[in-house]
Amino acid sequence: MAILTADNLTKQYTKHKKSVLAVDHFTYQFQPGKLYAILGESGAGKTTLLSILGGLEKPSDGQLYFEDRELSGMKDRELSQWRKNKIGFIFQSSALCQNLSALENVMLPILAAGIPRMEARQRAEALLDSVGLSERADFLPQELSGGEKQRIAFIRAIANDPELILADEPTGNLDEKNEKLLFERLSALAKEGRCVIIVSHNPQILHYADCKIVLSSGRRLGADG
Amino acid sequence: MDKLLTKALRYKRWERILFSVILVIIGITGLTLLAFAPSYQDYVRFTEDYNIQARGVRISAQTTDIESERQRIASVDHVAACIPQSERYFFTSQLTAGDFSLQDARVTGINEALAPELIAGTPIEHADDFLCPPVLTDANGHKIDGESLIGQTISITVEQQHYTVEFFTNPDVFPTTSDTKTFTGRITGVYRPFEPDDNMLVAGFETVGEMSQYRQGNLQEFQPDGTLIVYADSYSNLSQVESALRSMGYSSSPTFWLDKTGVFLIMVGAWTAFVLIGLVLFWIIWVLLRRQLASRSNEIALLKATGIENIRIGRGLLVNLLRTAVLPVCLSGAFFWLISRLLAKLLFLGLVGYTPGPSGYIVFLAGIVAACCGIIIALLPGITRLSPALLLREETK
Repeated sequence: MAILTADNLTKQYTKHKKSVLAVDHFTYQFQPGKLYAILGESGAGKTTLLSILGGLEKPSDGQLYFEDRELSGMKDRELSQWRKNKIGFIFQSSALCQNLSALENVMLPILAAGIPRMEARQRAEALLDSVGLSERADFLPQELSGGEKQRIAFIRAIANDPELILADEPTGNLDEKNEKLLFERLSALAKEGRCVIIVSHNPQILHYADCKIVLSSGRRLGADG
Repeated sequence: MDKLLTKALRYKRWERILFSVILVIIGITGLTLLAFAPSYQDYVRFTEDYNIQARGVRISAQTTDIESERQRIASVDHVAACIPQSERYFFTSQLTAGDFSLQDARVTGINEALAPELIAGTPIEHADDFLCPPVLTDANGHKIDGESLIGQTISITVEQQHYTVEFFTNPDVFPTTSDTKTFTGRITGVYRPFEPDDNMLVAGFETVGEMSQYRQGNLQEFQPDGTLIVYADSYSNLSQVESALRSMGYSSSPTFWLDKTGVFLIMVGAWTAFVLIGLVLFWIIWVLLRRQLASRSNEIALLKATGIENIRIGRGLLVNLLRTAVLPVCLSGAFFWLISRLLAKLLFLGLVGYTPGPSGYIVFLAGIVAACCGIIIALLPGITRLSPALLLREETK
């Protein structure tokens, strides 16, 4: 059974009084246990599609189902709840809270899921340890390197053991070594049964992806795998 | 969770300092001005109630022989009368006894702005302040047209004032009500200087004089200071009288510096300032909040993407705003109170029995501040419009 089903998803918005079709009737079924790479030139609608798949933006038309539940009709509060429990995001900018330490950044989604503070702390410490950053627990983001920040963003995304992981250019600021490491980790997560969807320009992704989706002007040109 | 959320949304140090400084400045200047707009209204009401507008000059006579000073001053051009301060209320009644005329039962003449001798109050029930122009009512609370009482003899109960000196604010004296006494008098006219429903009833001045004197209670015990009030024959001659008194060696100052036009202009000015300051205050807080929202947009988007509800994010922002505001609000509140008391003292100096100061308006101001906060909170859904997809759009930053 597909974990995420996109049925004729369309996103249209107006910019400078001109109508822009960012996603044009996108239909696809995402399966658990696979890593998907969404490719396409700049402005092809990759990021908009990822936003819709993650419930961050609502489609103008079409339906999106998570397992058998329709998401496009959900209210903001329900969507928040769904994101909290089912999705992990990895952003291009590593997006960490600047006022929070590495440990607190990882604790945040765990606490948001309603886990008691002590347990959340223990879980966050274990996650930091798993990526070799336990000694950086009290460091603020500005005191960490790009690779360290991305590792923290990665463990924060998987802190609540989500079924769906969405990543937007996750290797954008990384060197080759860290890039490889991150793709390996994401691939491992897919192999464990999660659905991982990655938007990337990086050709290395093709070595790890089970399926490739190519977008152009909001339309799916093709998919393999 | 909420503690961590508040920490995540905490403002930068320089933002906190800037916000605090702006709040203190607004607090001290803005609140003081805001408080004084309604205070002016109080001031005007006071002067109108007692009908002692800018006709008088207060002088300090450096002598114990008040009587000879009075005779000397009475010879100055345009001086209508000169009385010790303690007799002012009684005098006001006497002075105007012959200055007005009754036409069709209404008072006309140059002294319209001054009090004719008057008896006002709620004569059918009781009169607790016969100097105020009330709306007359019967025992059932129905309005009575004052003209219907002309020619009738009515009874009025007057409450005697007992004056005490308030510690720390000497020499101001503050009246409290003590005994009551009932007077009777024949109504000879109606004077309507204010609203159509106001009825100032005119009676024989002996009655009013007695009532005034009785009402003053022990006031004279507090007025042995040799201060004289010199009344000019008209407002336009007041400055001339004042100059003449100065040339005679008296230190003089107008008892009240507002005439009706001045009062109107000041009221318009004060209320305009009141509204403008309120708008500026709101605008500054709003701009700061927007600025802080913008500076925290990444964090907000991240928290939303994590699945944290808008309401919790809004609460975190508000807690930060309030935390930043507590110290400056306390500081400016304290300064505001001190400055306003000082200004009130200076502005309302000499209004015996009048408790100056805007302290009563603090509640009113707190209401305005609370309303502003309410509007700001209501407008916080700006957070809702901030899409977490922002984080996915690196190129737009």
